[in-house]
Amino acid sequence: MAIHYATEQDFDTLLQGEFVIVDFFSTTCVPCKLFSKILEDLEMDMPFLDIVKVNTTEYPGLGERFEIRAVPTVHFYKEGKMVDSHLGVMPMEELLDVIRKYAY
Amino acid sequence: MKEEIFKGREERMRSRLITEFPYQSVDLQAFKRTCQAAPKYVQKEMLRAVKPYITWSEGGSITEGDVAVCRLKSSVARYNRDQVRVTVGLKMLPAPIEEALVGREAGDYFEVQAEGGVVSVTVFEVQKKMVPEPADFMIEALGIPGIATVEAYRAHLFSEWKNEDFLKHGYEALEHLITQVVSNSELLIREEDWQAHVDWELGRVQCIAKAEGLILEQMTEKEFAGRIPVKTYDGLVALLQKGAWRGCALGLLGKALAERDGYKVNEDQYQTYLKERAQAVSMTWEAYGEACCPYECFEDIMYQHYFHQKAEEYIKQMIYTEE
Repeated sequence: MAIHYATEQDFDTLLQGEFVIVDFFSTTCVPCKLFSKILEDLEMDMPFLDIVKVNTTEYPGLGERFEIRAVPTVHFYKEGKMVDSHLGVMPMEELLDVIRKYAY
Repeated sequence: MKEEIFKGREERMRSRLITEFPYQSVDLQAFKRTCQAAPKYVQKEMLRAVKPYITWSEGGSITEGDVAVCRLKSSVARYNRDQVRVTVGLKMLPAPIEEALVGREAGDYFEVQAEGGVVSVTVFEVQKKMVPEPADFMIEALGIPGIATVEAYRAHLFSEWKNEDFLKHGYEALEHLITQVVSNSELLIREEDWQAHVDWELGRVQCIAKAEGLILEQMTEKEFAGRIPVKTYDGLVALLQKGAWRGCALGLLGKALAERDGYKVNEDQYQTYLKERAQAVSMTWEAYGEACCPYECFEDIMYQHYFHQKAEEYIKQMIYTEE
């Protein structure tokens, strides 16, 4: 699936993949831009990975629903259930560790 | 007679730069840095520009970076998967499996010892990443003003790398240059101007403290911690007094540079500056200007900034060697 920008309407559907990474970001957040680059690098190497991006500036309701207090916040879902989360920029190695743990 | 003695005194007693030590005369040899890491950075960023044009093609034998679609069968529950996609080389699967995948093709079957058991692997599909060479149309599509060719983008990325590296490692060189210029220049700094610098800074810090619900003069060591590296209000004043002399010096040096370059500060910039600062401390820009930033203060800040900018540009030209 690669990277998909979620809306309030399609967010729940997007979570239903086997393993999904959800990136909560905002448009004014500088670390979010750095993390975006990391996710783009990840997508280049693993184009089959499901990555969902949630713009909390555009969709504050989604941010409130998941009690997102700061961005970037990353959630990891396995078969629709959240299995892990992380606050702040995740370096590539840490991201790969989580993917290895839950998706393989 | 008295008037003759004092004629021009006020003019002569204004803070001014008497002799300027040119920053180009400062020896920066000790701060040289190599650009060894730059090509890797440029390559990585160039790949981002190419990314929308990457395709995947099916077939061939597996090499690192390829995506293999496989079935795994094993007594180890974790490695029983009807279909799993893996990018070979990212170590998502145990090393014996990933190493054994290299060189295989679609339709291949093999068994390998891994994780305390035997894992049998059937390769269904091999996807190879096709990365095109960077082309001008890809760079143009990035929409970076003034950059529409691969060569121009490479130069831009190299410059970006230098800026990032300078942010991390250039502080010492900058400090050295400023110290050399200030200590070797002849400056006349009036006590009133020096005091004004202290007052402006104190006013600015007071506005910030007020916005956080604090009274600056009554702040405790705990309240200063994490905000300003002092323990008391008196300590803050001492710190500002120390910094104000240098601020005066840099303002004069920056003004001299700006005048030679034809750079002028204007009222529009002043208002914009005040509005940004005032918003951060929940004040009107007029009140903020009155509290701690009259026009002459803003001018001084801009000239200091101008000096810093010129110094940084010069240092970046001088300290980076190609090898």
